[in-house]
Amino acid sequence: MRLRSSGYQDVLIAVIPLWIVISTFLSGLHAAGILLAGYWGIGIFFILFRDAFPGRLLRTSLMLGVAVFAQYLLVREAMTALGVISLVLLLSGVTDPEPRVRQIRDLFFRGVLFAALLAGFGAMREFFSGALRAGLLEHPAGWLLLLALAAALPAAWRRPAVGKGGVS
Amino acid sequence: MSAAGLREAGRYLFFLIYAAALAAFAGMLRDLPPAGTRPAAEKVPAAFWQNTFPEADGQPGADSVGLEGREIYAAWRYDAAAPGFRNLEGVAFFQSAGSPSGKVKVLIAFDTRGKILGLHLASHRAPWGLGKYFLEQREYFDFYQGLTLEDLERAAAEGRLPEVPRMRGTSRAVNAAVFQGLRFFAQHQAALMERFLADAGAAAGANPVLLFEEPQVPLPPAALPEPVQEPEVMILPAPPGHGRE
Repeated sequence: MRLRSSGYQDVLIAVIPLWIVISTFLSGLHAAGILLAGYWGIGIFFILFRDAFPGRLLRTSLMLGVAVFAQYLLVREAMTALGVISLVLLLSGVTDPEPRVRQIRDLFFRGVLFAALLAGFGAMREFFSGALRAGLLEHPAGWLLLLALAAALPAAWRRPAVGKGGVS
Repeated sequence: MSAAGLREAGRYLFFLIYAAALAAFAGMLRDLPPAGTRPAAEKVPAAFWQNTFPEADGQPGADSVGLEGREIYAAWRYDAAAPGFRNLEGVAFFQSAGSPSGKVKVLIAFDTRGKILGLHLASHRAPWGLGKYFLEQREYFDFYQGLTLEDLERAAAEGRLPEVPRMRGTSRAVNAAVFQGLRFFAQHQAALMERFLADAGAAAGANPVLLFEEPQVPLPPAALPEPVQEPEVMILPAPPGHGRE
């Protein structure tokens, strides 16, 4: 598996909006399943048929397709608008003129990574809020706070050398 | 017209067909029933709602009696001061209710006079992210504690029925389920007491009538683990120097 350098970042950014709303492992898998159906369906359609669209209307067509799928998500699946944001973030780069085989392979692996991250975050939230009752770790903000602390603490501990000598 | 122009015209034609297909799909979506009338999008496990009272056995068995196609369970109160003992306080059964924007299944427990002992939300349908939020509204669920059908009807007439913000549909579904449950109890009170007391009391191995007259009489533990024996505390002499300067 070899992703483009931006592949992981896109998927991570796409997961964050839904990370806020999913509460369990199963709800994460459920959300991922619904979104992957749209992502792979729209993605493969546009990778295969992008030359059939007028060049200046290609992105508009993509957004029209996303808008109709978003209507399905909101009306039929009771998904929040955050799910639509995830889908838009995932679909970035689908209309780029790149080799189709590589794009489809990326599409597949990015989808699998997205589902795994979403289910993982759902399970993590279920575990921390259920078994440990750690309210701080229920929300992404708590994790970001902890990560920021972890990044800042080594710098705080690293004291500048005051003087030389002393006990050697 | 040149070949390039024809190709470009074909592309615009493809775009028009694509847009028409999207419009047809969107129109089809509009005609479908909304999400609330379908099974749960996010089904929240009941484990999140840690309502230990009343505790009714979820499995049909010794404690359940069938009545008009539904299982009636025993509502036990477990005594924290006397582990291993429990008091039979009433009956409990599941009640489902649905509205276009919410569908719930609630386990409601009643005492012998039809007063609500407690609610246990078994499952409900909620928009993503709001399922757990609903279960956290303890004040909402506490509202029903101790209410009778008359109390609830009075509250409804005065417009005092509670609603969880952002989850009006689910709140109304819970209200409807409670109303239906109370009415079922009122209609079948005699049968419930008679059949339930005979079966559950026999299963518990005690005189059922006595249980309801004397609700504080502890039942022998039917299927409960033995109470844990506390180890005896040994008081050791304090080590020399302890407690001195």
